[in-house]
Amino acid sequence: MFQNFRQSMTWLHTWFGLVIGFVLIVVFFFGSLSVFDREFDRWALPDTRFDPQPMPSFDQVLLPALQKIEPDEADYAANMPLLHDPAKGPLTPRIELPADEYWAYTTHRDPVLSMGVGFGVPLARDPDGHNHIHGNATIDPRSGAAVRADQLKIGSEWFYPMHYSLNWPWMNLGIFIVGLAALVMLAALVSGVVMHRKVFREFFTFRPKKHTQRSALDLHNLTGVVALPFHFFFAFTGLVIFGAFYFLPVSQFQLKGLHDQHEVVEAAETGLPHQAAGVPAPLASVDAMVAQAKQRWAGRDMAGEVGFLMVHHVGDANSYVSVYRAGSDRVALVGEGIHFKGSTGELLFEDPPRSPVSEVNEFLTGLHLQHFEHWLLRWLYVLGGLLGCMCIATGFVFFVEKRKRQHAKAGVQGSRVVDALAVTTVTGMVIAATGMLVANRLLPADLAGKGDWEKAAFFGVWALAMLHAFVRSAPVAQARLNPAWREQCWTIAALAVAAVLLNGLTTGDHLVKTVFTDTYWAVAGVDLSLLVSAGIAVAVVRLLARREQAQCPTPAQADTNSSDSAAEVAHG
Amino acid sequence: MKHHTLRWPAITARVAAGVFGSYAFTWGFAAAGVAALVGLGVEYHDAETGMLMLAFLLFLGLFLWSFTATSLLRVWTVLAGGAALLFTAAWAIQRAILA
Repeated sequence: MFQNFRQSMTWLHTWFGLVIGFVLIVVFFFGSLSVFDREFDRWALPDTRFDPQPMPSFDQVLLPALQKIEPDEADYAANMPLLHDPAKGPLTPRIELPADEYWAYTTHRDPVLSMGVGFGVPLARDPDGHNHIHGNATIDPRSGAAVRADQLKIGSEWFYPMHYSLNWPWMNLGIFIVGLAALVMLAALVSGVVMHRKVFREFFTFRPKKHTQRSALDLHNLTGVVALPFHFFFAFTGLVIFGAFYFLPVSQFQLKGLHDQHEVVEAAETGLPHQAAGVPAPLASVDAMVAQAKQRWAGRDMAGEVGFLMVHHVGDANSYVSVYRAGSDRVALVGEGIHFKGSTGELLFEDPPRSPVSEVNEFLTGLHLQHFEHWLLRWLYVLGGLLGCMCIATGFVFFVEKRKRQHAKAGVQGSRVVDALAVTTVTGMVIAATGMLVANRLLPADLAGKGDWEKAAFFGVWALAMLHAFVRSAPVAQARLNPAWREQCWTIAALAVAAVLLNGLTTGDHLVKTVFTDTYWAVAGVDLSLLVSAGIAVAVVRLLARREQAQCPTPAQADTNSSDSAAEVAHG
Repeated sequence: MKHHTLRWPAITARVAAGVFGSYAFTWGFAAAGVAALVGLGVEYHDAETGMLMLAFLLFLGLFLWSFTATSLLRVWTVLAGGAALLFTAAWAIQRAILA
């Protein structure tokens, strides 16, 4: 198909990069925002703006709150008929389902605490299966009071899932598309290096005064090379994190027999009961178990707080409590789990030291998921992610610049369509994110289903940006710039400033307060980042306006320009 | 670059080989590798974690090779044949261990 190795790599880089690039830039951008997902949560939910809290008392705070949780209506409606066997007896009504599993989770950046109940399904079709209807809640750990369920945590429940699933849960298709995008990212890095032999020189090459095509390619190469190990690492570990569950689930299919045999052996080794006994039993003080777990961690010279806590087989004689350590002081995502008998609080099992393979794995995935406490590194992640966005965006620009004169002459619309899609995924995406924040502050706080309105605003604004990008794209077909780039940068600047002003007006947490008088960096950080984004957007507007004016050539000039650049590309 | 020499059927066959053919081979490699390591006494989850990490690098290599190899027939023969062989090997090893 191709004449040589380099040509095949160029083809691969160009076309996969273009098609998958539209997905990749979304993954990179929302991945960058997810680094500060909890901070976006605070910005979006003003009544949760207080300091992060440690895991509160289970006996006094968590247990009463867990007992108030009901099975989720949608989960019940969708899954109960699948799990329950009508031949064995009648369907249990939703609110009468027995609790089978409790969990609670917090991190060093969480003022509020997530918790949930897995409710058992009586008379299940497959009694050995994972028969759970879920119910989740978020509480203020200081009081145990529930935070409203229809409020959306914009950072951790919208930007973060956007990063790994495009918020498209149907058949997990979003996750698989992101997985393919990660593979293509790896391939684009390898093929990009092959294409450009002069990797070291490109590290230092940026000629902003040259015409757009040349400077776009310089910037594409520079951002691609400077963050190459970072990008390779994130695409690879992204695949590894979801590998066993989604991308290569050999253990769930072809090797299920081998895997299940291992589970039985493992259960026998740990002594943790896999099944409920069917005999009711009370729950002993979990606080006492937590205290013992903390003592044991301290004994291993890794004193710490509880990050995750789980009660299995609630109310049963076989109930056991698993206490996991919050890993905020190390890269590897480790739990150091300690397990206690629920009815007595006696120690059942301590997770053994990890094997070298799982140490490598936990280090790699921990470095991707960054639950550790390191603010400088957190910002470097954002920088690396945004460099990835720049790399992809300049790739789009280069693709269009290289072809648009040719296409204009031939009268084809290819570069016009690509350019409009690039506007949609570059500036349109930023408009969607900032538009969502503005909607969050404009919608009344007590609006029912507020989160759904915010999601609608996100996609609605994005769709409008796409429409605008296509409507304004005609000049590209004449080898000129699409004014939508400039206009959408104005929109970004306006929305970002509006979001900061609205936050100050509706919550009273303006920057003077959050930075100086009553410092609260989570909200101040989002506000300041929005203002910096607005500043960059205005700078880009000015630059684009200059370029648009400079390139209003007569047709004759356009011809000479294009032959000049053709010569330059041949040399470049 | 002579893009006009590229034909859609050839491109589709390459892309299908790169994505689906390489995936099938990678699956077979992971399954056979995990089964073989477990057979050699490696703990199951260690075998799984280690093989999956290698498998994604292999996937990348196969994906790239699907486009660089001159003969499309060879690409499909290696990917489909290798996938079938590895898949069978995984099945046979698992059967032997569980027996």
